[in-house]
Amino acid sequence: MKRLIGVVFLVIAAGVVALLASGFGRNPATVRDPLVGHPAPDFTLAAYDGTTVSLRALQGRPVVVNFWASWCADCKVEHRALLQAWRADRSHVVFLGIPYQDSRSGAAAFLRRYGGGWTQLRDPSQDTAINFGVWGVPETYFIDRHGVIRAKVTGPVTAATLQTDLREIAG
Amino acid sequence: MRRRLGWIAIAWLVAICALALAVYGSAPVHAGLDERTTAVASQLRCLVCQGESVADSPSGFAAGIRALIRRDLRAGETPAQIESFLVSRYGNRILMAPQSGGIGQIAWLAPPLLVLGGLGFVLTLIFDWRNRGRTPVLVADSYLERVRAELAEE
Repeated sequence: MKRLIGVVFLVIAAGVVALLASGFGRNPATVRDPLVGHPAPDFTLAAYDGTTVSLRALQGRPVVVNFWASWCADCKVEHRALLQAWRADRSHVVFLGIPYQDSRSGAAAFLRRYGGGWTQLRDPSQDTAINFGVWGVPETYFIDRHGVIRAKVTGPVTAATLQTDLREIAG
Repeated sequence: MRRRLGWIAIAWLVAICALALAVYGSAPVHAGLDERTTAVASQLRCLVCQGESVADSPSGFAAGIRALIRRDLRAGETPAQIESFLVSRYGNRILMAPQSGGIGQIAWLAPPLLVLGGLGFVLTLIFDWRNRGRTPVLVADSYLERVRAELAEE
């Protein structure tokens, strides 16, 4: 009996230790996003230029949605790559920016300084950000012509990741 | 001694059950909106913080989630519906505690099973150790005869 209890105890302990040990080999930042492969949550938001943008109305065109903030260092890092991609692909890809927890003046000053002519949308309640599962900027979603999220980049996008993900949604 | 060990084992079980109840415990149905919001938020992890719940964190992320919880509760949604929506957006990592169904059951069952298993193992060792002194020693008759004969010679 004593031996049986000991064996059962050791088997359970070994299982738990193996489970915990398997976590050491994984990067905690690379969590699979639950929305990738699923339809993007619809939104209708007012833009800073006075227009209103509905995601559903854009179906049929690939869309890039970039959540960013003027106070975010990584957003400065990725901005040049975004700007280049927008200049190259704006004829067939819609680029949308959604400032996250940012002031209107802060966002406007950032865009004046670093450039960028794509539409910027207001999400003061953070509803759209929460609907997309945004928790830290920058986060960028690549939505295909059918409105399905094909990829998400958490952290700054690079020219290489933009090229790959844009090809996926525009191809 | 044996009775005392029994009481210790029962105390362990009661402590484990109390812990499980505390974790699973939900907000009172008739609590105010603030209390219900806090109760739901305390079950959610602030993803931009270190070990803080959405209820405790002063971050903008947590404030946004709290506002959503409050609005949805006011609209008549249940805490389970709100949690389910947030899990659909952020995954299970938004939950402070693992889900009680599916594979998440392992996380709930493993610790008490390990504690009970360890307790049983230690108790068995103690009983075995205590009984070792009382177990009669079996000696062959021929050996006893030889010992008696040697004692008689002395």
